This record gives sequence, C-alpha cells and structure tokens, in this order.
Amino acid sequence: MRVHRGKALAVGVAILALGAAACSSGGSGSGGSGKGQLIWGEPTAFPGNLFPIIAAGNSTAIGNLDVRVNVGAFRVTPNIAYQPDPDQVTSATSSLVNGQQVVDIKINPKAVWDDGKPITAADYQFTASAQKSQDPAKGGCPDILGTVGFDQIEKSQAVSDKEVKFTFIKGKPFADWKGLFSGGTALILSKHIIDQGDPVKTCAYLKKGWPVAGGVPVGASNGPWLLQAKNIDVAKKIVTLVPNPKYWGAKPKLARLVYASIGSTSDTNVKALKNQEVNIIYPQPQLDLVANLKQLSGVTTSVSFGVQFEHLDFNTKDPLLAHPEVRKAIALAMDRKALVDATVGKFSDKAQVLNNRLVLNTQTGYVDNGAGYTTQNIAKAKSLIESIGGKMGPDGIYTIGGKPLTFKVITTQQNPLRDQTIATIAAQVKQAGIKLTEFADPDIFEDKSHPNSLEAEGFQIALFAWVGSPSLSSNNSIYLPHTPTGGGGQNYTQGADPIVNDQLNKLATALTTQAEIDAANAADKQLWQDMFTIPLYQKPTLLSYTNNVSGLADNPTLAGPLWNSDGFSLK
Amino acid sequence: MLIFTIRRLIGSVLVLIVTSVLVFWYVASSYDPLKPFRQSNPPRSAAFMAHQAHVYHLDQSVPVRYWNWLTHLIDPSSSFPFIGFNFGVDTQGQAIAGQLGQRLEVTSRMIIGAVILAVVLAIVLGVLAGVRRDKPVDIGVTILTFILIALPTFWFAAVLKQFAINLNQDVFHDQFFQTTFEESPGIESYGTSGQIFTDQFKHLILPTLSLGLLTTASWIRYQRASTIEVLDADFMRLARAKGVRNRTVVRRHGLRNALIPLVTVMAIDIGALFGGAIITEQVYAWHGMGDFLSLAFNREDTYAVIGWVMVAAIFVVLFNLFADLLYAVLDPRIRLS
Repeated sequence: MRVHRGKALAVGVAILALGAAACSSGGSGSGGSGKGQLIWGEPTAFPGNLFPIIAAGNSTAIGNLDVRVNVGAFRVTPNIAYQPDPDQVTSATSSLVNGQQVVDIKINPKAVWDDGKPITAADYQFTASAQKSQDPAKGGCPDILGTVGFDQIEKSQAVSDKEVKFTFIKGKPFADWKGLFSGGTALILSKHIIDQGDPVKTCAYLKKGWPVAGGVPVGASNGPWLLQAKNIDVAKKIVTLVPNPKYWGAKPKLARLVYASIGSTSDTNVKALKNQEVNIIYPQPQLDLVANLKQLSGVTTSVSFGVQFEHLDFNTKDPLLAHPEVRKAIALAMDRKALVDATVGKFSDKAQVLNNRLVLNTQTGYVDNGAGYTTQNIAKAKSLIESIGGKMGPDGIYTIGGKPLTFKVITTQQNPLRDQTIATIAAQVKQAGIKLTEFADPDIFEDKSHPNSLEAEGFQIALFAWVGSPSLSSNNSIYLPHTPTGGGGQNYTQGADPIVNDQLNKLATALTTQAEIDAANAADKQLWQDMFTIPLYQKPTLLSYTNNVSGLADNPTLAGPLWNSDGFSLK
Repeated sequence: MLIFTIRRLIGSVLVLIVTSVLVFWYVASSYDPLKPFRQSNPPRSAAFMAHQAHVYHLDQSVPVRYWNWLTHLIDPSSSFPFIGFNFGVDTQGQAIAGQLGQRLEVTSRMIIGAVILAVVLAIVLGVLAGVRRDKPVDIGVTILTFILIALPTFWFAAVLKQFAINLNQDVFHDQFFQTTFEESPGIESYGTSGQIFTDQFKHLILPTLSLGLLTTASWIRYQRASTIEVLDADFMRLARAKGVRNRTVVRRHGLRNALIPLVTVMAIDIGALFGGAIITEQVYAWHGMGDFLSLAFNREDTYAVIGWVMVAAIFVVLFNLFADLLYAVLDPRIRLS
C-alpha cells in the first residue's frame, strides 16, 4: 500500500501535536461537602515553601494560600483590626498582673488539627518557644524570620489542655500580642508534627520547612481548607484547596478553591477574566487596567485602600533639610489634596489624603493630625524659608547660605504612580521656590555598600511605601532613633525627638487597643512638628471577579481577599 | 568526521565554561537576594540577615562561590542515566535542576507544536514562492512574511488572544479557545482522561499558532531564497533538459538541496527557543523556561539564573553542534576544510 506523503505528514503533525498536548496529566483528588469550584488568579510568584516563618516561605502568595489553611486565634478584618476567631478560641485577653502582662487564651474545646488530634495549650506554648530565639546557643533557630514579641515572653503556663497563659517580662509588655497568634503567616505550630524533641532537630525541621510539592503535612492544619500534596502541581503552578473534613466550624461552601499562578501582566489578567478562565483576580492597580476591567460585562470590580501607604522621607543630615523650616516649607508648598486627585483619586473617589503616619485612614482610631498641611500655603512656605535667611534667586529658586533649594527625590524604577506623584509635587513646590527632581534609583533598597540606597542614608528625599498593620507598634522602627542594639533600624531620615520616642515606647507597651491608638496619635502629632516624613496616601488594591461568585469582599490588609474564602459560593 | 566532531565538542564545552564564568560573575556581583528582607516591618534582626547571607553564600567571594558551584555541577548517580546536573538550590531552598526539568517539559510542548507548524509552513510556502517567483503567489507570501517579521511578539500574541476570545463569545458561545495556562486549573480534580487531553490540546492552540507563525516567517524567506538558487542550478537545468517533468524535478532534486540551508537555520533557532519563548509564555501564562527566568530575575537569585543560562546555553550549543555536523554530512566540503 502506498501512503500519500502529504497525508502522512498531516497525520504525523496531528499525532505529534496531540501527543505533546497529552504529555502531562495526572489525577488528583478532591473532597468535601461544598459544591463547585472557583479559580483564584494569583498575581505574585508561586511559592517554593509553604512554611511562612522562614525566609523560603516569606511571600505574599503564602499569605493568600495559608490564610484559611493555618488559622490563628485572631483574624485580620478589612478595617485593619484583629478580631478573635470564635472557632479557634473562646476568649483571648491581656491584663496586668503584678506589673507583668499576662495573656490568657482559652482554646475552643472543639478545635482539632486536620488529623483529628486536639489543639491544646501545648501547641500555643510550642509556637512561642520555637520562635523565642534565633541563637542556637540558647536553643534557638537562626532560620526563623523573627522573634519579636516571643522574646519578651518570660514564661508560659498550660492552665489546662484548653487554656494557656503567657507572662511577659516585667516592664516589657508587648502591645502587639494578638499579632503573635493571628494565623496565616503567624500560624499556630502543631507540636505533635513539628516538635522533634530536640532543639537542634526541631531547628533542622524548621529550616527545611514545607517544600511546596509536599503540601502542608497532615496534622498541621487547623483551618477550613486543606492544602494537600496530592492537590499541588508545581510544574503548572496550580494548587487546589479542598475542605478540611475535620473542621468543626462552618464548612467551606465550595468543593474546591483553585489557586492558579497567573502573574502580574495586566492584559493576561483582564483576558483570563473576560474568557472566564479565572473567577477572581487581584492585580496591582493601574489606571488603564481599572478602566478595562470596569468595561467587562459579567464582572464586578472594586477598588479599596490598603495597608501600604506612600510617603516622603527627608534626610535630616542633609545641610538644607536639617532645617525644620525647609522641611515644613516643602510640606506647606504641597497641595496634597490635589496630589491625591491627580494620582490615586483617579482609581476611586474614596481616595483620601493621609494625615497620620501610624494609623491609616481606613483604620479604627485614625485622627487627622496634619490638617494644617492638607492644602497649599505658598505664602507661609516662603515666609518659613525667608525666616532662616532664604533669598530668592533669579531662577525663581531660593538659596540658603548660597545653596539652592534643589533636591533630588529618589524612588523605585518603573513605577508610573510614583513618577506622577513626584511630577505633581515638583510642580507644586516650585511655586514656593523649591526645585525637586526625580531619580529612579535602582539601588534604593540595597544595602549600605550602595551609596544611593536608603540604608546608606546618602539621599536627600525619598518616596516609597511602608506597610501599615493592625499592630500599630509594628512601624515604631521607622521613627525611633538608631541605637547600638538595633533600634530604629528603618529610620532613614535619622531624625530623633524625645517626645516621639516616649510615645512610641508607650505604644509598644500599651495594654489596650485604646491606649495603643492614643500613643500612636500622640507620636504622630509630634511628628508633624518635626516633619521628618510626610505621609501622602494609602495605595489602592484592585479586586475583580465574575458575577457568579458570591460572598467575596476585599480585605485590603495582608490577609487579602481570600480571608473569608470558606464563605465563597457559586450563584 | 570523528576528528571534526571531537573538535566541535571540545569547542562547545569551552563555550559553556566561558559563558558560565561571565554570567556567574555578573549576576553574583550585582544580585542581592536579601533585598526583600530590608523592606520588612518590623525589620529583620542583624543576626537573621547575617544567617541568610550565609545561607545564600553571600559571605563568600565570587570566585569561591563559582568554584564551589562548578565543582558540584556534575552529579553522578547510581541509576540511569548515571549522571545529572546539580545547579544548587534557589533562594526558596528548592533544587534548581528539578525545577528546570519541569519547566523544560512545559516549554517543549509549546515548541514542538510551534516548530512542526513552522516547518510545514516554511517548506510549503517557501518552495511555492520560490517556484512561482515574482508571481502573485510569491508576492502574497512575501507580504505575509514581512508582516509577520515586523510584528512584535507581544502584540501579535495579544491580538491573537483577543481574536480568539471574540470568537468564543460571538461564534462558539463557549470556551473553544483557551487563552490562559497550560490547562484549565483544577481539571485534574474532576476531569476524565479524555477531558484533560482535550483541554490541554485546546490550551496548546494559541501559543502554538503564535510562536509558530512568528518563527516560520524568516524560515519561509530562507526556503524561498534557497529554492530560487537551486532552481537556477546546472543540475536542475540538466534534469529539465532530459525531459523530466518540472514538478518531479523540483520534488526529487530541488527540494532536497534547497532544504540544506533551512535545516541549519532551524537547528540554531530551535536551540534558542528552548531557552524559553519568554514573551509568548508570559502572554498565555505558561510556566516554562521563560517564566522561570523572569522569576529568578525578580528574586535576584544568582543560582537560579546561572542554572537557566546553563540549560539554555547547552541547548544552543547542542543545536549549533548538530547544525555543524548536519551541514558537514550534507556538504562534504565543510569537513574537508
């Protein structure tokens, strides 16, 4: 029989193409009581390790994956606050006993790990002891990300299997104690799985963590979802969360929540949603992206304002910026309301000027401490400059001691929002005889060996973001002065004020939420007098999802939109 | 031929070593995987930063790091194939060689389909244009190839994708064309083997078309040029003079000789494609070699980047070697020189 070559070629092509398509397939199970599935398009990099308290597991993607897999005593709500999780604890309180802070946690009697073993006081005690030190000589582990808070615990006591008390060192209460047990990246460690009976062996376990292909070990999850090895396809970057059959609280409404790594390309995100290949996306907001998403039919798009906030840092060791009058003149010359309108205001009419460095607009306890600086006051700005001998030059720029008020603003590269911010500010302050120029600095976050980095402190003005938190004291290091013991590690402005220091120390040791808020606002009020930094605005977050999804609401904190994913369902 | 092959092999190994030195030196000197930790609130302790610097080998000089990497590069094994590569671990503690193997499999699926499409189109359209030189067919093919050559990959892939989505919505009223990922996420949890196979095939269509059409454009030009050159050769005129039908002359004598330059160009291009069709992978959210490199760049991960470079370089060198050998086989004058 003679085969026609053309036909043979065509058949060959088809077979090869189909064969290639079929190269990888395999089964993976699912389970649970819910119905249907939703696909979450993860914009950040696929994680290599699922253990969030080591460097390898320190990623945004882990936060999204873990948030309802490893649950803590508290949840972070969309208004940037901690809320006890009644499924996990019946109560969690802090009080002062004989001058020492005592945290008392009563565990829900029904709470069990996914292997059915009860969650006990020993698990909480182990969580604290495993993260108490990074020094191997003291039984610590150098591979864990941090010890902050845990290192202030003097002793822990199991009152019963379901109640544990932590006593903090006298005179060193820890205001952010809720953050120590808030789940996700601050997970409760399952003692019977992780404790190897010896600090060295346990440290080796922690160092290895949970490589992604192996999933979260059985017995280490306590949330409504499970992240099992059989449901992880590392090559395709797909993870399928399935309901935890041992979960004692409300079960997930879906049979599966699929996590697929889609990347950050705007066009890919929009088209995947348009073609219904993913149900939920959470990309970095850009103006054209928001507009494109809002045009899609059958899709809901919302913009919120999250925990990241933009600000300006002034280097107070700069000869000109050392004058508080110059720093204040820049602040007065800015029209921050117009700045917000020209930048994040284009995303949403909910955008606001941020007039507080420690409590965000959308956070409980926010007080507008910088009202005098919201709108432009050129006359006052000029007056301040002239009060310290400033003279207007022929080019319209002031000079002080012969030095022109010309400053370089360093910022990150390829960030249109920051470019727009600097351009807007530069145009505003020019009216007051101050010139700003942008320098997109590739070394901004490098170490001290790079002269243009923040750490090298060789800059004049810097524009970048900090991340707020329900724990108001978590940003203390930005405003405390450098100390030999490492305090103020991120105070790149090098500004110091004893009143601020005093208030921040009160903030770090506050025992109630209201005391934290009061101390934070007092510190911020003084920082407006110092003007080492100027807060600008909270950065937006962008959530878009197909209209067949219900139960979804953005949580613009680090908890992310999957914070209540067990309540998602299909319409 | 043996000496020629050995000489080429030695040259290839030297190229790989020089490549590894240059790239390793550059990335190890400029990359800082500790950068993300400097932005943490609250800041990481000095002890932690020092420990991580040790974990990432940043406390060693670049030559020491390179030597350690090089001396562990070849990983003997007791089982077949008895030897493997050890590119070290990435900043997340994962073995790089294993990841690159998985990524290569993904990229290969896209490349195999695209190369098959490109070869078929290059031969058919290139020969047709050469044989019908300056005729409407040739002019049409020439315009088509110039358009394809001029199109930016990103733009073409995006337009193709949009076109497919419009067809889905307006014509098929279904997801006939899949535009994202290598397969529908989660299908392995509920799909049958047949459904998974069909789904993966549907996901392959657009990336294959995108990569194949852009790859074939220059190949068509090569094929057309070599066809024209062969058609004017003395042996072709002789065959025609002997009364052999033109179609037979072209098929039996012309095509085989005209394919020689294309085969060598293809070998070189395919080698480069294995480095990852970075943009195509990005547009269709495939997780192949290109995606791996992009991630390694973002994480400033020295060992991941050097691992990728070595795999890509090995493919380029191997396919170049293959092209050299093929050319030597097809044209004896090469090895004699």
